[in-house]
Amino acid sequence: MTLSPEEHRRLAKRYRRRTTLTAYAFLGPNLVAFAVFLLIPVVWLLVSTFRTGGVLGPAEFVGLDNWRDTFSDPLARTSIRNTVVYSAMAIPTVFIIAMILALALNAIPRGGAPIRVALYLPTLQPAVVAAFIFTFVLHPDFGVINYAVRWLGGDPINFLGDTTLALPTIAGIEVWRGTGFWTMMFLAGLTALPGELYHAAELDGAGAIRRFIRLTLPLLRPTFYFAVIFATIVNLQLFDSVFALTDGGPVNSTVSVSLYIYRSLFLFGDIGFGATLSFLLVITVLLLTGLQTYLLRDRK
Amino acid sequence: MSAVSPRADVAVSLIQVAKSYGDVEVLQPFDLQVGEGEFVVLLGPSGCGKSTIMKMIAGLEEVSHGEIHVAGELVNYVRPRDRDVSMVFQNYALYPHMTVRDNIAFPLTMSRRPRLKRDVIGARTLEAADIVDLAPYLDRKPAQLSGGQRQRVALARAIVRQPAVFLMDEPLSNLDALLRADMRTSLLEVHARIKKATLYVTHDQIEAMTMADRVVVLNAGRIQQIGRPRDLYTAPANTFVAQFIGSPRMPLHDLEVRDDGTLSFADATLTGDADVPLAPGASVTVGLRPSALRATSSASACFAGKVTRRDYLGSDSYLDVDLGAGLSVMVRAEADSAVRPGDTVRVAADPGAIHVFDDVGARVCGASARRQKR
Amino acid sequence: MTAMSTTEHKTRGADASKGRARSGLPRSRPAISLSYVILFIGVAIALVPFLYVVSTSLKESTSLFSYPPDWIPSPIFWGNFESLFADHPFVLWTINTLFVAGAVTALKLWFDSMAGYALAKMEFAGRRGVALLLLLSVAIPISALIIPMFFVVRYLGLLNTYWALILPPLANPLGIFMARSFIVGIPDDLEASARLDGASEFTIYRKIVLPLIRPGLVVLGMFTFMLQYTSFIWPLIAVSDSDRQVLAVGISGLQSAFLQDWGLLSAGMLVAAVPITVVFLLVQKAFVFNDLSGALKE
Ligand SMILES: Nc1ncnc2c1ncn2[C@@H]1O[C@H](COP(=O)(O)OP(=O)(O)OP(=O)(O)O)[C@@H](O)[C@H]1O
Ligand SMILES: [Mg+2]
Repeated sequence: MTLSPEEHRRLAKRYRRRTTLTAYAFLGPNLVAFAVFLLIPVVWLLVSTFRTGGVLGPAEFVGLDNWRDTFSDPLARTSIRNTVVYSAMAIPTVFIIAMILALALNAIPRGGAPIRVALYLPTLQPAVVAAFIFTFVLHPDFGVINYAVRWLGGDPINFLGDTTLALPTIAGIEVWRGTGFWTMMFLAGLTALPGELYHAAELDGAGAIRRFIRLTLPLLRPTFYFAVIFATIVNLQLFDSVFALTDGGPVNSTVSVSLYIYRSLFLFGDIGFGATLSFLLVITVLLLTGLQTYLLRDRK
Repeated sequence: MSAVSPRADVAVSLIQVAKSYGDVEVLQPFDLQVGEGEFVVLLGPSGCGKSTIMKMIAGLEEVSHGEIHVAGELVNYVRPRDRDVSMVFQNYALYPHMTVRDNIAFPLTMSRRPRLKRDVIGARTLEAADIVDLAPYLDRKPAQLSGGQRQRVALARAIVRQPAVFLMDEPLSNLDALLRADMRTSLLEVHARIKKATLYVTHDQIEAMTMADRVVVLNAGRIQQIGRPRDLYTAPANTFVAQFIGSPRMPLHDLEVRDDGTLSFADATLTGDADVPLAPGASVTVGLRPSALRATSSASACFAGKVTRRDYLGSDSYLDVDLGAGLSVMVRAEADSAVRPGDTVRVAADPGAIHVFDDVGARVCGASARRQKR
Repeated sequence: MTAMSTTEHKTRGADASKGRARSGLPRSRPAISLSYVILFIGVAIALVPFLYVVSTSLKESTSLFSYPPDWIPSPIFWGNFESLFADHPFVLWTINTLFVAGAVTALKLWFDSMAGYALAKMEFAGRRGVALLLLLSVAIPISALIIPMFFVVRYLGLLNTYWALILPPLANPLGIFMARSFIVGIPDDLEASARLDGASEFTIYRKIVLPLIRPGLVVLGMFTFMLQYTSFIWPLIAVSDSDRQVLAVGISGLQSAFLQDWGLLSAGMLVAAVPITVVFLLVQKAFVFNDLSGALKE
């Protein structure tokens, strides 16, 4: 050989460094945005959980006071419970409805395109718009639903004014808005499934329901994995529709974690408290997605 | 460390090159030189490391050990684009969104030093397309071409740049047999025309034997033999080469050398053709090349046995002949020979029919067979 | 990889839609009929609330409470729309929203496809670490970061500017993984070939990778645009000047400022729904809803 081993090592290192630099150049813009708007805020959040200080006042170190306050604050607990209950209602419901619609779309021979557009319209609306639309639809005085209720001889229902009904109503509105999105997601998964498998199953005499449970659901595992993770992350951040519809009421029955975080900053200016609550939310979502990843992992 | 050093008249020279992925060694250290204008074929079964060698020369895979020189220059740490090497990929790797013209012109439009003018690019693209008869298809997309046409686009894209070295990784493996024979001829024509060093990968021995100036036989990451096609056939370096080259496959038999340095094979005596006689008592492996054994009626035959099976190939037939004592050979017969299974035939061995290998499979010598007097 | 699959390469999702081969069989007639019934109900539930909005927007607020409610307003009242454009910076909100959502989408598609290319195809020191960090941060809820984000943006002096709305969403790493999953589907030999042909990494990205993942990028773009168009909490916090505000926040302001002027609100929502619907219909032809779920497969 013409070069010594040391020389080779040196040149190889230099050569590799060049490809590494190129790679980081490609990652650069994202890494900068990532550092400034994600990493720094998360670190800031962690530090703030140990400090006090208003929006204007100076910050000082207070140890675990914020954590103690947050855990002993009954409304913080309520907000966490509301958010979890809301997610537990909204996510399965929207998944089941969307799955049914996706299966139906996958089954029909023609007319799919306009139906897809129609189903997708609610998804295109900001949550606040969806919320206002349903304020009309559900209005105790002039909403259609209550018109129907009266016509049937019942008493009008105050969907958003009732402590037990308000949260499920908000979940229902989010389901209305989310159905189009998840329908398209599941439909994409369905159309990508291998057809031959189904022919084989058909020949084996498997019925439609059996085929769905034994073939379709397992084959859609990657789609479900994405869906569950993404839906969890989005739904645990519930804010827009609560803010627009009930502002947490009646009697705090719809206060969500995000709403409480917002209030802690803009209403009572307690950054330490808000930061701690935020940090709890981060941890919760991280842990939940980790758990889901574990449960939905490929067991082969 | 090897004594080999790079020479300027050698287009590509690999010195003690080895490759491993982590702890997995996929190529053992080896040397290989490809001369100017030479057509060298890498031949070996799937997974033996042929593509890895090509990718290392092209700069697409890092070299774990050793040096690669192109035109006398060390290129281990030179970017692929600066190596003056072009490659035809196994699956052609045509750019699906570009027309044939743009595919062929791509290497030229990428050229920096010198930056080429439009009309130069256009002219050279046409010229390359002409060499492979693609002129009528220049405005099509790859998806609108047949397999053979796609293959030719890949070839045109490789030659348009006029590199020092061509690498071709199983360029014909996706074509049907007829087209493959055609393309083989046109590839050789192109090679004769541009006379550039070419390294060509295949796992098809016919392709290797018909096209190569020299063949490199690889197995499981080790070079088995480097030589002219004729050498591989007449003097296979080991049992792997002996069985891999030549069709039908050579049957092997384990024997023990007798005290007089000869071997007893059915009712014949095999005598080695080396100057040194075989060591008495040694275990050896004997291979008999079917295409060099003839079914005959002549008295000069060395074996006789019963035909158990007959394969008709058109140009000739092959017979499985049971010689008794658990030994059998495969022999060639006239295509329309009247011999049928159950008949008894005599077998004559042409020179170069019989090969003796030692207990690790390396070739020791050839051998001649004589019928034993009974 | 065979010749066919190389030269006719498409990204994964595009294949799925092109195939259109339904996973399954010729369905039975009753199954098809049932499907149409289900879809009819679904479409009705999706659309009827919009009709209600249309109807309300064309009524004077005083006639809203007529009982029983009449669906077709008579006479048709255009005053809500007039007031919307005359009394509120509605046009500005629309322009702001389209500009911000468009800018975020363009930048994200660009940055994410670059980063996705590096993660999918390049060997470099720290690749696993970077991928893991980005993957972990997919699970960081943005609304938990509004407080620190507020201070970061204030520190940068960007509060109440377009930058405040455009820059922070760029930190969402989900798109990188989606882009990566499209790019992984491109055969390695294609870039290898381009590399030998003399293309730099950036040229490979621009001339080979980008054209090949276009179908995927359209979907990712629509997805990003939609998320941005509907975003609410961050603009609410970062922008206080009404003229710089986006539609979602602006509309919600209509309600609190003018105490339940339902007609005006309806008109606002209706007009707000138009741009995104138009954008959606424009890309709908190219819109084969890619299987974005590939993003998080590993
Ligand atoms: N990235 C990798 N990591 C680990 N092992 C690898 C990697 N790439 C290739 N190999 C191994 O290296 C060996 C040689 O691969 P290579 O592609 O060179 O084979 P080949 O001779 O070209 O086969 P074929 O005729 O099928 O194309 C194979 O056993 C393969 O499994
Ligand atoms: Mg190969």
